[in-house]
Amino acid sequence: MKQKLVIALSLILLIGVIFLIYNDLFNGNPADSTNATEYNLEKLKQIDSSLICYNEVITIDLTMESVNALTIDSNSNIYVAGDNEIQIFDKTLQKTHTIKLDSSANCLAVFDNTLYLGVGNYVEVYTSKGVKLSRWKSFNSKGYITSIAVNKTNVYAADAENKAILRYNLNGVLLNVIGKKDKDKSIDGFIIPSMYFDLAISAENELWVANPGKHELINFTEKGDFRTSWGIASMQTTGFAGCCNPIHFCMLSNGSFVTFEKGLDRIKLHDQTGKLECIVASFSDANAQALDNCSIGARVHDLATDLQGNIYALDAKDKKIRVFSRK
Amino acid sequence: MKNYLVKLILALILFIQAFNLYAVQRFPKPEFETKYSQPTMQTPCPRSVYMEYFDVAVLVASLSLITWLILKKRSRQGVFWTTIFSLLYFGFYRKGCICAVGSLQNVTMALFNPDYYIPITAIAFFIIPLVFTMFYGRTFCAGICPLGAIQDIFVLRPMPLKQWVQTILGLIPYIYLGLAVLYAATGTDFIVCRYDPFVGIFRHNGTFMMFAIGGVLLLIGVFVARPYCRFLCPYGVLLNFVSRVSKNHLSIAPGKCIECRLCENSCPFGAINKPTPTRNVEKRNVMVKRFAIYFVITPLLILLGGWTGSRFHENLAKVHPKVRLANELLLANNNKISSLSMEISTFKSMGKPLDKLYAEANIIIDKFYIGGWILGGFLGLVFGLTLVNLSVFQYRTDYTTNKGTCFSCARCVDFCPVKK
Amino acid sequence: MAEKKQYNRRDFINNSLRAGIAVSLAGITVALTTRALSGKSVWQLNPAKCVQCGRCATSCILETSAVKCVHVYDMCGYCDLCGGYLRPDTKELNTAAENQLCPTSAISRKYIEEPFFEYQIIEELCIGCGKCVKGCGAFGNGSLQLQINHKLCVNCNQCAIARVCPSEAFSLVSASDAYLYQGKKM
Repeated sequence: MKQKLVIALSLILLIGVIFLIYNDLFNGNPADSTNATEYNLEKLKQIDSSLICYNEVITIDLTMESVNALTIDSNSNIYVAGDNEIQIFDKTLQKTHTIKLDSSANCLAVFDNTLYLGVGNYVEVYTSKGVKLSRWKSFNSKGYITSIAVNKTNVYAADAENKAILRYNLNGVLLNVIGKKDKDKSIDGFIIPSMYFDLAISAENELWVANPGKHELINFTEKGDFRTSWGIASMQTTGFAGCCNPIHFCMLSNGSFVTFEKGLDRIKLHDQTGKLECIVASFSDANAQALDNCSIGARVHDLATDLQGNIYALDAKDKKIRVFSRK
Repeated sequence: MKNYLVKLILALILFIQAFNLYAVQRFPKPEFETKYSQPTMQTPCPRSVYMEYFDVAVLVASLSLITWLILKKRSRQGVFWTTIFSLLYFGFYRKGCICAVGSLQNVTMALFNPDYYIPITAIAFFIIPLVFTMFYGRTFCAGICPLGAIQDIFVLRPMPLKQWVQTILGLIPYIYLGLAVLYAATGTDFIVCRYDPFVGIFRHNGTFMMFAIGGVLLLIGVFVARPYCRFLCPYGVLLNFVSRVSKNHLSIAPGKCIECRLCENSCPFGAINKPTPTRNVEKRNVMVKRFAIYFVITPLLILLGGWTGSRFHENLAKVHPKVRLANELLLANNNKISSLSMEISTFKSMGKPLDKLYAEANIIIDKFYIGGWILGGFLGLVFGLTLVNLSVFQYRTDYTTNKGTCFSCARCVDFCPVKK
Repeated sequence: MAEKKQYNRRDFINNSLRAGIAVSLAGITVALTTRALSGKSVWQLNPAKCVQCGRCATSCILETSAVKCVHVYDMCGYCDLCGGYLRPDTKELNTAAENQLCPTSAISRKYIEEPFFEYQIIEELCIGCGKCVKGCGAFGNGSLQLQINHKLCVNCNQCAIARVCPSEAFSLVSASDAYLYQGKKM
């Protein structure tokens, strides 16, 4: 009798084991969804809404695989570079035409209906209608131009590989090299850990350059002399976050700065002295909260502004231009 | 012409280089002033395969030894010590990997997936025990298989099971085998390894589930000897089949059985055939008739099994992670589940189109439709053959081992008074 | 007499079945051995697909995961304020122990020259959680990447991490492709 009971119990246990296996195989959860070692930037990305002074008013969807750069001319035409081409939108945000390129442009600037493109280590010049005018001699073979700006006398190209600003005249003659590391002149040089090296020309025709590794923006004279700089490293909104920021910036007509920081994916507005004025936008939506394997590389690939002071951000993740206007 | 070819090749090389230039991300190196040299990256190589060949050598040596001990020396003690050795070597030292039971999945996967390089040791561990079994019976089970070895030590108070219970539970391994082959063939999972009950004990590390199953099976094994081997092991199905037709096999008595009944209860696994009592013999024409009926309904059972299996193909496919993810997403999109799992949130962040996932999942489900038919048909066949087998009457005058289920552990030998 | 005849028939059936089994086993062996000798399959982690969910640290069957963080120095910016080394929410930006991101302090930092620092993974301490990988990817260049250390990996038939990986970053590949780095081809 006792033996029968033991056998019965054993067999019930055996059935139990089989049921456990069955249940785990067909109904089991693969693993729990909590991550004990999670790296979370959400708290830092949360921004007090009173600090946000811009509204996103329009988005323009782009039909490109990759988007690299954006600029706006004095007639409010928008130029977007990416995918071996440049797409041009007029001020009604309608695509007017496309310029096919031999290879992809990393950056572009427009002045007086002439397009200046940074392609690899050289500059190419097109008319705004797409006629190729010239290809300038490259500074050296290893160069890589990440940003370009132009005014009526100069073309400045930021070369991330050479860690210097190349100053050309409008005909492509190299005038001088700005900011190159030089111990004799006690120039520390730019610290550029990744291929982000931006510059801009202010309304007063002053050259401003981002030095991301030092978390600062520097003002140079035409001759390449240091004039002034500002910026501190901080995860707080007052400074620039992470190892190397800001990676993109543009300047408004009143001399204030619009900066974008990778990592925290935020666009901020600083006044002429560099003091934080307010936040333009912080990309902290539900999508960003999800695990994001595209986090390597920045979300915004370029910033631009029009004459009305609207801010245009080229969202590389969603392949959109997001337009922000002051509240 | 030649010139043209050279130019073409040159152009091709240039094209590839240009492509590479843009495919590779670029990083401006810091300009170090001090003599800094960048450390080289380490890419440690996998363990050498010689250790694995050594495992195969140990397998062959220990199998030969135990076969010799069983069939020639008829020494239970020798088998016991070999069992201990195997448990220590294949179990605790090699941590239960590689094992013959799991290797059947490697073989299946290699047969179905041409991209998979099966380890040579997996082939060896699959084939060698079967070859030995073909000639000498299941000597591998006696004490070489680490899963059997660990259970064998826990055979402390074995109690006999009713024949019908054994027969019914004996069908489970066929289901397990069928599922293991199905999931290995579809590249879904290696379920035999996943639910290996003792590997956690061998590794001293594992999930709660592993230890729970292992512990409970050992506990059951105290009373119902070797429950995994008898009622779960999928490799045992193959060994059982091969052992039935083995050339030599352990016999209880070394000479003529004297029907002393001493060995009758010696087998903890219920693998001893008793002499058939003459009075219960049915009339021959009744038996033949029943045999014929079962023979006819077996194909019907196969069809029925196949049809049933195909009905469940979606449930079977759910084990595949892709199908499960597609299912979860379907539910999530219908708002049937509230909290998003990591799988769903990851999928959403990857930007892969939902349709593509569904399409991929459907291809897998289609495979399982065929797999369901085959699995069900196989189980129908097994069921039919079991019925046929039950109705086959074998006339026996002696106590003999059941060649299919006998593990050749040689326990019964010690009970036999016949000494040559 | 009749009994003996039956016995012979059974013998014949057994022998034929055995011959059949022998032939099929030989067939399987021959068919698979050529394949087995031509290469070896190992598990590979593709960092481009990795989302640093933390399951590599917890799901490996080894006591400490065979997945380790690897530093691809070619991609490193040698920054002072390394996103993979420092916690993002620190009060002050300094390298005090409480500011270290790695839960097991498996990253060592060495000063090279102003303003560059070298970061090295202490493999014995690394648990493969990918926290630093995420930090480096968010702020830096993504030079920290998770890889399977094949000296440690026992190459399970079905990798326990691969089973739970939410982004299909694991795959079974030929041993010549055991390591896969993002950015620069090795």
